[in-house]
Amino acid sequence: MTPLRLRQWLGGATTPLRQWLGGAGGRLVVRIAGAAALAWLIVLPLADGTSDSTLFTFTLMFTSVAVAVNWNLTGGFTGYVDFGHAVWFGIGAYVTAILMSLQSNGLGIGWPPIPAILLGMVASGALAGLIGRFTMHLKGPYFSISMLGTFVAMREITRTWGGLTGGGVGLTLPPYLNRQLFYYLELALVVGLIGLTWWLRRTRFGAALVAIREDELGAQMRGIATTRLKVAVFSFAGASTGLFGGLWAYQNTFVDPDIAFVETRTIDAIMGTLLGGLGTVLGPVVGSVGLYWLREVLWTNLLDYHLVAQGVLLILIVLFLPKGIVGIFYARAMSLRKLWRWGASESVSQAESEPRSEGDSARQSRPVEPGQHRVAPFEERTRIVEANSIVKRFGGLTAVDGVDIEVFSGEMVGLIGPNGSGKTTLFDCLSRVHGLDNGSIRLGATDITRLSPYQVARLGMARTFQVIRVYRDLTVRENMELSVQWGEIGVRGLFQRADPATRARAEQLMEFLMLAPMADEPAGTLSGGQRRLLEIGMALMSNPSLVLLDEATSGINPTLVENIKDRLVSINAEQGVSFLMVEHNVQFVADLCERVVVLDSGRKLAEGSPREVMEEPAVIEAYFGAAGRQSPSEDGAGAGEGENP
Amino acid sequence: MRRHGLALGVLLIVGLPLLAGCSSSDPPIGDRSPTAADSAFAGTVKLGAALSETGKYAVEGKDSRQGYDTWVRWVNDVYGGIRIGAGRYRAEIVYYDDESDADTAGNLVQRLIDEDKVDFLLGPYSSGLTTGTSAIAEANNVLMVEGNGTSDTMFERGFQNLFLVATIASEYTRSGIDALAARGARTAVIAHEDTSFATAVANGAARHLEANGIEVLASETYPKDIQDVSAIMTKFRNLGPDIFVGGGHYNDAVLFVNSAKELGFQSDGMLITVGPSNPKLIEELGADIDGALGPTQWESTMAYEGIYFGTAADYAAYYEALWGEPPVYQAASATAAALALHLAIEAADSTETDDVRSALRDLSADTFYGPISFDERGVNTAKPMGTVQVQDGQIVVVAPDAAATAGLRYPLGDGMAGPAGTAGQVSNLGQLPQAIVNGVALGGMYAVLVLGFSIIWGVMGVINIAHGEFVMVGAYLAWLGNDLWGIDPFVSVPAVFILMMVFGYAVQKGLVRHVVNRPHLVSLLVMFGLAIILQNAMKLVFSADFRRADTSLDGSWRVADTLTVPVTRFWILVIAIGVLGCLSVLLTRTRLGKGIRAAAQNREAASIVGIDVGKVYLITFAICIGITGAAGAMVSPVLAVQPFQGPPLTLKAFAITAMAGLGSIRGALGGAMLLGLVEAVLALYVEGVGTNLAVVASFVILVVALVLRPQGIFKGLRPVDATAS
Repeated sequence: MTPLRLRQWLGGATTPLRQWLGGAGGRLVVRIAGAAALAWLIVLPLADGTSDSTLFTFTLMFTSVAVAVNWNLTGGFTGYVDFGHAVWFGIGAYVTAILMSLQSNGLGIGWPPIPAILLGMVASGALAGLIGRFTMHLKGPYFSISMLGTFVAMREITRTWGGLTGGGVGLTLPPYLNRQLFYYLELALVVGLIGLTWWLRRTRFGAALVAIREDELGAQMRGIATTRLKVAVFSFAGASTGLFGGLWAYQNTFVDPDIAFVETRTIDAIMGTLLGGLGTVLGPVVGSVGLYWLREVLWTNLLDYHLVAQGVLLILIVLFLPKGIVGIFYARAMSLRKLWRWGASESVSQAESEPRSEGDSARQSRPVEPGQHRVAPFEERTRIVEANSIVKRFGGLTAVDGVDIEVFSGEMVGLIGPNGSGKTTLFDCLSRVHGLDNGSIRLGATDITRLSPYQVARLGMARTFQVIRVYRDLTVRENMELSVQWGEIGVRGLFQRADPATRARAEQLMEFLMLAPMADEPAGTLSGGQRRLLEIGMALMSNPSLVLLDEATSGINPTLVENIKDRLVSINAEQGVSFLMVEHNVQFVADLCERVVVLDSGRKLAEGSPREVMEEPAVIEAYFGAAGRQSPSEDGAGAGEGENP
Repeated sequence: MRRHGLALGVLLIVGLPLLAGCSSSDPPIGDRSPTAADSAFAGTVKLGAALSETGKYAVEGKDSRQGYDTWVRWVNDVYGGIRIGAGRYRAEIVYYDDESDADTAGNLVQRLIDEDKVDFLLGPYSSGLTTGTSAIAEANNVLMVEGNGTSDTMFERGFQNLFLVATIASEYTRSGIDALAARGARTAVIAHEDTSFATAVANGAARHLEANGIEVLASETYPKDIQDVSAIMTKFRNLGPDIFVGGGHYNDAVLFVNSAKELGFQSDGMLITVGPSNPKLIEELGADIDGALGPTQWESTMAYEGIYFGTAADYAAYYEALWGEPPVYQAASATAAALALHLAIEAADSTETDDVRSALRDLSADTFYGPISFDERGVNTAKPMGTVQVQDGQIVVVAPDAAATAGLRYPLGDGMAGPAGTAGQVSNLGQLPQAIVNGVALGGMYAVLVLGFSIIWGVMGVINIAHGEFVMVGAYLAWLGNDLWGIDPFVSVPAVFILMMVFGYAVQKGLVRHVVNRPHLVSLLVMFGLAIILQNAMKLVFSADFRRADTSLDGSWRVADTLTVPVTRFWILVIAIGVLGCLSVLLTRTRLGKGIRAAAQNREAASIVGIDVGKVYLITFAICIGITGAAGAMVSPVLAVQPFQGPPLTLKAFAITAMAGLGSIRGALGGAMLLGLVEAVLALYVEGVGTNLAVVASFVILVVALVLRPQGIFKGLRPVDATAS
């Protein structure tokens, strides 16, 4: 088999055997192997001829598995590649060692091991939370490097803070070397940790982490408190690694900065996770164990050359086994799909098909005359959004220059203007993607000028994007179920799977938006128009009072445009959802909206009914005078952030 | 075809150094497999040791292993086997490579006990590794006799099974300080690495100085893997002490000697903890190290004689016959440890742990290594520490008197002696000019070291984590030219540039090309793999010994009493600015530069308008690796050249690039200068731990700069999207 063929075979479902391995067979193999391995590990210390050294080797292996699992929580699931993860190991080890050796340092009474190790865990978790709060604002390699910097700084601080840490000399702990006890303790902890990640990835929390990895801004816009969640998981990973650090310090009976803070712990975690499969539950486990034995084999067979061979192997793995070992068994191990199985496997029963008929009735409610479908007479409406003198500058360019805009409940408002007039920027200001240079925004009774995008989303403002943001690897249904009203699910809901009500609502909306036939197709396979509909559906999933639609019709065939128009009208009529739409299709706006705001060069040029506005000379000039200079401009402000590395 | 190219690339990168490595393998040791002579023995006494064959202790690990093997050879081939009862027992040592890593060492010692079922353990190299492994030996009730882990704290644990034949760390400087005090030294300064061993030595030194009535004017610590000690030396120079006591690691000796020379600091006596007793250091530093004093556990010229091996000189001759090089004291200590165990086994007439332990406690023997007699801690207190001085390129023993082979030279010639009369007279402000000069000089070095890294990241989006290894390869090329043909490293810069460009071309063609479009983690790991390969391949070819290339552009210009300009660094700075200028012109004024900048900003758009992005990358990578290698050549006289010098440099390059803006030429210079200045000023103005703080500072600056200003301070080539929102 040539390397190319091998890579194809490993990477995709090309043969029946491969497909079987990638599906049911893979799961079977993993389950049997996992159960057998666990059983073997439990009886191993009881078997004759098992030496302490074997147990010690396994204990070290458990430690590296645990560190890799923890690393994978941030690096694999959440997409924050941490180059300094070993710092938490060192902090845990040091706090434990300091507490246990307080007496010998003449600083008080030495702590017993268990509280010392637990406090070490808490301390590293707390510190991880604190540092993560700052560094997790950074993305990609910048986050990685800042964590590497944190790692080195912590090591040097430990070294310099001699009174407490013993400086470069380190701390010596009373020896206590019951290998069997540590073996079982760490086995239990590591199995528990694997179980915890397995469970976590099936909850909304796990799904949100993956959403952060795929598209952090999009996740925020759908109401996910990304900062809070990613810092929480970072802190958890720090605490867990700190726990193993404390255990290690106790076993090793000695810590100094250079053995507590070791870069290779991070490197091994990354290599193990990559070898096993990034972003999978079993990847770091399989990979770390594999790496351990691989080294053993290399070491005994190649002696002087074993480290060189290790480097070669690393390169080969990265190049030829991009999905890792687990990827062989789960064909789509890296994709989001497996993380979202709860919805896909159980379809909503027909008994709950009431929404279906509702969808049907909605489909029949046409044609709709503009202005006839309003929920309430104008006088009874309340203001949903009120933005005053919004100013947004990019360097020297003032993209939005003192615009006032308001939307009333049940209203459909159009926002039009030539390219570069500041429409999308205004949207980004309203949904808090951009900070304002001046002005204020109220959503209902709440001042949202300083809130985060996710908070705005939770208050009932949803939006779609000029450049479509759907999770391409997820099915349509999974995309829909992800976009719940995150503000309502609470902490408990965060740790649960999607509830029946969510499923039913998703089903209903898919029916309504004519997406039901492709409910179980990956969103990436949909046409542009269908993806628009999906995005609208995702926006509606969160029960918004206002939806910002950014270019809902661009690049969509006319038939589908009509469909979208129908759907919007009936949503507006039946659910009282307001819409503010940026649109180039003037006819679309004229058909739907009773009020239109025209922007030009960041200023409000006109406002009124579509007919009035279109007759305004200034508007005509702006539109037709500007028709010639079709240059790409700040209209694409949202575009650059479409893909996360 | 693509695949073939890849395979070829990997083969090329891996194969060449390996092929070269085959020719310089270690002398064969046949002790693991039974020999024909086995039949003559009644049995085998099995010993085990975890030693560092790789990693930071690779050099000393090799010496220790040769020391142990010397005893094995001798006891089996010459002595005829260990006598127990009526029989003769063959000695065997099982070795494992602990990779200089504490966990690995612990694991291997446990394995030696459980699986190899060794009767006794011999120590690993270094206090750090001995501390952990001895706890395992203690818990398993296996004796460990060692000669190369001397840190005091290890023997405060009340262990029953750990014995040290060497002199304990706190006694290292005693004979040297006594001798200097007798010759009239009145003031001293101390600088030490803040590791367990070096701290113990320095604390001991402080006690001995005090006991001799010598005033300690300043005491400074610095972290391991330090690259620059000029701040410490500036501080010391301005204090004008009689003697300097310092060190911790072999590399530090190189740094202190270089820095003292650059800054024109010459104390009357220089006592360096590790280094002067090692002939390799004299080989590398030549006349610059002349006059330096150093503690030694043992020298072949010492007048010791024992029942086995004969005199110290006899031992040295036997050792040299085996290994083709004279023994350093680490090797002799290892042999002595094994010998002490051997004597105790014969005295106990048993291999039972308890019997041998009491025999060790009762042991009182004269050996080639000196008298051996353990106290209740397990420390050999009978043997005094010797002190050597480098005199005209020869290592001679000058203290204690009983072992001395030559008189102590003190004070050293006046030469460039600092403002000795004005001790403590230089005001804080008066030190500032020197701090700025040091900082700028350091910054110039950082600038030339960081440039290639920054541009590769900026243009290709590849974080070249093997950057430090390319510096290292360049440095080795310059050193090789210097060593073989005496070419000045500055002269060989163009040649190194071209050779490294070819190397960079091959790496890009064979490897980087395939990962440049993949997520940054992928390219990162591939480069990391390459870094591991380069480090270890170079170690196989050149060994882990520290080297230094000699340049005629050395020494310092004395501008004022308290202001000197280091010549080598000055020229590095000049060349750095020249290279930066050329690159700047290349990027802004040429068609190629336009293409590079276009590819950096938007790969797709660049290829759409007809730029061959692949070719642009190829050229960029080749040029950058060329520059990086040339930078390595330039710093080869200043930084110690060794296979593992890369990672700290990569880390600095990371910090500066992220701080300054990706691929920004002005940023590379500005960031490097900023970092150099911050480090120099901090290190100079903070007492005691200033140098440690300077190291932390660079990373604190990095993290703070990233959080506050993620796009970098200067405008880079690549638009940065570093924040989430």
